[in-house]
Amino acid sequence: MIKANDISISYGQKQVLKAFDLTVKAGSITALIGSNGSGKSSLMRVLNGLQVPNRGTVFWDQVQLESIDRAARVDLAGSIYSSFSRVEGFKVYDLVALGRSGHTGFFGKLRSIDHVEIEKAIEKVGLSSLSSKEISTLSDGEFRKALLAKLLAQSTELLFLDEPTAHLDLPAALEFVEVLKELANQDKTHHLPLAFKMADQIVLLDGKGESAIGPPEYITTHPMIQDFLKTEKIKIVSGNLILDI
Amino acid sequence: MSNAFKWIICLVLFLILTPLSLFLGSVEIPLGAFLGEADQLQSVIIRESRIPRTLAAIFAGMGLSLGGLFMQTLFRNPLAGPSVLGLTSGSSLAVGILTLGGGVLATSQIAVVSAAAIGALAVLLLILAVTSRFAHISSVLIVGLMLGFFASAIVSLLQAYADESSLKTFVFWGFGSFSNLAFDQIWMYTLPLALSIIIAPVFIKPLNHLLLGVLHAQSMGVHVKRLQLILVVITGLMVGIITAFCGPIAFVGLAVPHLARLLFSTPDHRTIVPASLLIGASVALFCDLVARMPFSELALPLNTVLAFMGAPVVIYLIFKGRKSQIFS
Repeated sequence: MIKANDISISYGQKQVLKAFDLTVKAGSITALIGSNGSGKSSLMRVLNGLQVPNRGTVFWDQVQLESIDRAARVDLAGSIYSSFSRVEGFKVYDLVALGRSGHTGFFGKLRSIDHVEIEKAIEKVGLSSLSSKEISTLSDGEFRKALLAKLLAQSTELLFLDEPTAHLDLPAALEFVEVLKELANQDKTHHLPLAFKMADQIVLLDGKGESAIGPPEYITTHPMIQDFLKTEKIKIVSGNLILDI
Repeated sequence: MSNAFKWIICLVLFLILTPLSLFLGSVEIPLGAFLGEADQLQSVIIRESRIPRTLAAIFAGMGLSLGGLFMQTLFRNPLAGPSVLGLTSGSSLAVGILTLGGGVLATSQIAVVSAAAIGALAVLLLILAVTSRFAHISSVLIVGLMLGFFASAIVSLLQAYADESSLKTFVFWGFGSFSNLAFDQIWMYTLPLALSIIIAPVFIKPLNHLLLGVLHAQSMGVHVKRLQLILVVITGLMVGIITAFCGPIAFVGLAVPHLARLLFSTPDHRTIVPASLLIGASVALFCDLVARMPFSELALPLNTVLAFMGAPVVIYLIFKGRKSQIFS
């Protein structure tokens, strides 16, 4: 589904990623972890095609990303970023309807198929009862779900999620992850214990260009994880990660 | 109140104000005169004064409101208006130099129009140079603001040493007016504005995505940098043309998009773009009518009326508190 070859990202003198390779299979979840500034967001933007890497190539479905027209990418991949505006006056339905943008015509007029897809997406995340509520009045958890519904309405094969469970309490985060698991597509999360629970594959970045990729069991025993965990207040107890509060 | 009803109100207001703007003025012209029974004087007044004036108001209202809406969404700032680009300041400075500093130069109307256009164009070129050089679009806001200070400093200096009659010319230009447009200039004024308004629907979808944030817009396939550049150019051209022919028109561009959002209680550009155009035209027509004070010998400066109408709207929005925070 996604293939990255020999990716290098640097800002000035600081190299955050060098000679990075990644393969993400269809129907799997890959989590990017690493401390702040380790290049998670940069890598995601590169994989998402919003940033050009200093070196290397990204493929979506074996097609080189650069050769896919920007407008056509909307039909292939959707994303949620952690920075967003809760626009006053927008209802949940309006927000989710924005996800249909790639499918609608010039003026963005919704056809009956679009309405069906929007309702389906809202139902899937469990917000049906709130669909005519203004997004500015939603709780953080509900708003995240509304964004996810927008992503679902876009009906793409690839999903990129930037810190999808940030600002959520544990029950809300778990609930959110359940929805994601059901979808079983790609994503990226910074919520550590959840990342280890749900991901098929984990990418650990150290911000100095090094990276480790593998299934959760492999990452928990990787030497790089010790440095990272110092910053994240997490201990490894017999292979399971627990929060050190 | 249903949305259909709101649209009807907007449309009816516009359809009432347009003929009113044609009928009312210092010279009374009967309805029959518009239907082809005008005497020579009446037809000259209709041709040379009323029609250009009404068109000037309609297009200025539409253009400034659209430009204001573009700037508010682009800069994600509810207090942005078409004047944030500093084009009005550029026009002011150029007209100031012509009328105040020129002295011997004849300050004919066409000279003032040209000066205002050149001033706006110079600032627009400067802004474009800035936009492509800086990573963040808000640099444009700061440059626009600083240009404004710079221009008004020079204008003050010119005013201090200007003679009485040229000072008066400049001050009157600053009042703003829809009655300076001549019949043979109508195409020069309306055509570029009409074109800008006609292509506005192209930006509806990308602007809606931009409401959620730059990254969101980019991930929905919006070429944000290109969009910023295009909207700055279009707004710049519209404001330049309007300022050239009507002087610096205040408040319309800032207040009308807010009025539209308030009335339809949505930030969706599919609604707000047409609503701002319609409301903008009506607001300009209405304020122009009030400024003319049709049943008296007096006339008010247009910008005085606009500020009287516009300032309370903005204050009301601030008092509404959280509700007015269109952009959180």
